[in-house]
Amino acid sequence: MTSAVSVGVSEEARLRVMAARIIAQGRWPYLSTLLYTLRVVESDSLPTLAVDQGWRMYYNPEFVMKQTPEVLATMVLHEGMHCVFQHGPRFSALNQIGSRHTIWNLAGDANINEVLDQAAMPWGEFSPVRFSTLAKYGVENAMTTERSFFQIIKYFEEHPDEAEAESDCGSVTDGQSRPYEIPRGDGDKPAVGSDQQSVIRDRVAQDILKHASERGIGTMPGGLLRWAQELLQPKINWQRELAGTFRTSLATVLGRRDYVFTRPSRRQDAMRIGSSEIILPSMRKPAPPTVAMIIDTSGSISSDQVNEFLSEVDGIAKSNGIGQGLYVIPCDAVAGPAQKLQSRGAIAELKLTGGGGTDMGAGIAAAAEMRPTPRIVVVLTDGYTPWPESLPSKIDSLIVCSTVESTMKAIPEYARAIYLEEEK
Amino acid sequence: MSTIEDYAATYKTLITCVAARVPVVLWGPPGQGKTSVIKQIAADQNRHLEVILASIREPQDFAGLPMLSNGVAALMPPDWAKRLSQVENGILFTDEVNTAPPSVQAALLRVCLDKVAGDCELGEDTSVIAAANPPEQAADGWDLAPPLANRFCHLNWDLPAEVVRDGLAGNWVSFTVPTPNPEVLTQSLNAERAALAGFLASRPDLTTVLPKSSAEQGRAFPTPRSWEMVAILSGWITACNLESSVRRIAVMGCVGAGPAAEYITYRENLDLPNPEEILKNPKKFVLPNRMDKVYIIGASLMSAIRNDMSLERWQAVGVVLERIAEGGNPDLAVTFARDWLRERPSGAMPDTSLLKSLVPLLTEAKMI
Repeated sequence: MTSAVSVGVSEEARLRVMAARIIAQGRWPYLSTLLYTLRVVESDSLPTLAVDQGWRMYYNPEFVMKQTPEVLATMVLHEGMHCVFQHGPRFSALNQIGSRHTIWNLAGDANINEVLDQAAMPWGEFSPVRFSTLAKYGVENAMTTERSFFQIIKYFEEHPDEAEAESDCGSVTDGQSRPYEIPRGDGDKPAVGSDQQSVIRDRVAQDILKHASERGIGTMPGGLLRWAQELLQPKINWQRELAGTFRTSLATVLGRRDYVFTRPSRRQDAMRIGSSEIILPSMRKPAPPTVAMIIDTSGSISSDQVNEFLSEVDGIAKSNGIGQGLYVIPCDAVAGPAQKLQSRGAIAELKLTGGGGTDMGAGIAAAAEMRPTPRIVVVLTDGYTPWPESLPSKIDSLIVCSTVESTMKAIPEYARAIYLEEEK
Repeated sequence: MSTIEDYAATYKTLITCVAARVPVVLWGPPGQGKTSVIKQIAADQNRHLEVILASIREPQDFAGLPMLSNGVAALMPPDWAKRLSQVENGILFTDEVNTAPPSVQAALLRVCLDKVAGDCELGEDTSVIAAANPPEQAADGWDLAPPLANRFCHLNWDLPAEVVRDGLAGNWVSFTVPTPNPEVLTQSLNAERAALAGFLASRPDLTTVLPKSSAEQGRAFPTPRSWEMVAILSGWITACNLESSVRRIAVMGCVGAGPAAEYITYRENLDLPNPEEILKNPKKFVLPNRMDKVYIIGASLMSAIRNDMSLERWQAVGVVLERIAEGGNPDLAVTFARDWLRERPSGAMPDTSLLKSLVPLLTEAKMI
């Protein structure tokens, strides 16, 4: 890359970028392997800093010399996080028109800078894109990059006269090559292949988890820790977990739709070949059990959460062949009357009032008194409640869904526990 | 989320599983071209393929039909099993395994593991492929039972838009994997087993990890059996000289993301030079062209001299740092030089030529 700047400035700018990288590494040592994988390339064809798909970092020497090494270090970490968060492949996966990449970049920047701000990184004179900057487009704090992106797109579709805001951190954010990029196979500074990138990302994620377990979660930005956990310890959403647990309960309660040899098959007569006989099983489906849902009405659970939960359980029960026999019991310190849930539309009509004090044990005891006895009981609670010593013998399976993660430990062994994480 | 690179790597992992006879299950919504890809692979490898829908089958279709003959009950094999037992290197593809009732899944266990259907041996040369719809997408889908799930390598099958676009234009992309040389294969399988043994010796807690949640138990998790599958697949991948993204997907598919990342990192570190060797002969140190490797070597050298410090070893690290700085990465050298200077044994002085290459940067970063 030829440069119009003098050799002296060029050399100084290179030193400054390297110094910034040393400072950046010192701040977040768990990003070391990624930061040092970035090859630095000088170029005056771009205004600030950028990274390409092959993880080469381009810098404008004049821009660089206007920043202190400390501020530049923040920007290097910013670029590094575009690599960590895989903004390029995520943009391609959205199948959007290529020209929207500047808006995508903006949405990604807000997310990254939120993490940097949590760690109180210096920005100097520079004013970065933040969620607050994007608030005028309707973007809210902590939205995912995808959601912010579609929000901004929607805003500009509704306001076609306004000039579109933009940001450009290079092709690492969108997978579309820029004119200033050096060739992928450059002899001195070759691109890092995408498979190599995922190996490095895995290593960074492990280093983050290791750092968090050795030095404590408080020593690192939550955004990075969450990313590492999602990559290496992917979580299954509560709806799927609840559906799986419910099915397992159903199986242990009564047996499912399945084959049995205890009764002859309808087709048995057609199965005679000469003197030999083939024995076919028949299908058996036991009568579905009654299910009771105990809803903690003592306060902290919002009605939206209750509705979502009830319609989820209703859906799961229906798909497992339980059309009838779903009951809802509101419960605070004492259990309210059991109400039959006829259909999903009837959820709004349920009377779920309550107040001070919480004892889910009262709800469980009330469920055990019902006729027919519910074999499966599902509890929705914030977990700030005492639990009974043991499960009433008539109830076969208890599933407890807690909306507060820290109360999960107190849920007794005899119950299956699920954490209902609120979606963002 | 899926890109054409992910798709290519998943496709190649599938071919490798089929070639290595590791049972594989494809997770994906209906209509993703799973069946046609498998037909393509069978044609490419010139092998007989049997496609059956598990959801419309009964347990006897896999376990054999019990038949009374002369007072003895025998298990009659179904027709597809008979055909597979008669050909060499057959492929059995069972679609919709997780919408099959549990007893059908249980019957499938023996087919997948022992390759036996009824009283009929399919032969060890038979490959088993299954496809499943994620439970949240299938009307009456079950999670796979843990014992069945643990016998498969799990792949997420997702068609990227680009592949569909080109496919509709008449150009469905397909991939092939070279057939490995048998000698090379034996060697790389042995090397892989040794590496895996070393890894599990250092992380015995990862030998068996049963996930807590019932949904995760229906996917990949580490057990001695799934580690064995890792050894086979990763050995094949080395022998076929495939990209590291294929290895990543294959290992993740057998043991899950976390343990897979740890094993792959361990494997990569094995390829790095031993720090003690470098300290003995620092002048012979050749700078790897991957900077992440240089960083890891630097870190291992620093911990080696911290454990066993002598003037000679300290100076050897100085030689390596100088080489890193001269190789165009003075910032990487400075990162270690900071600690290295702090660890200086009394009376030792760093080489002037090293200092000369580091001082401007140390000044810029305000470290001196």
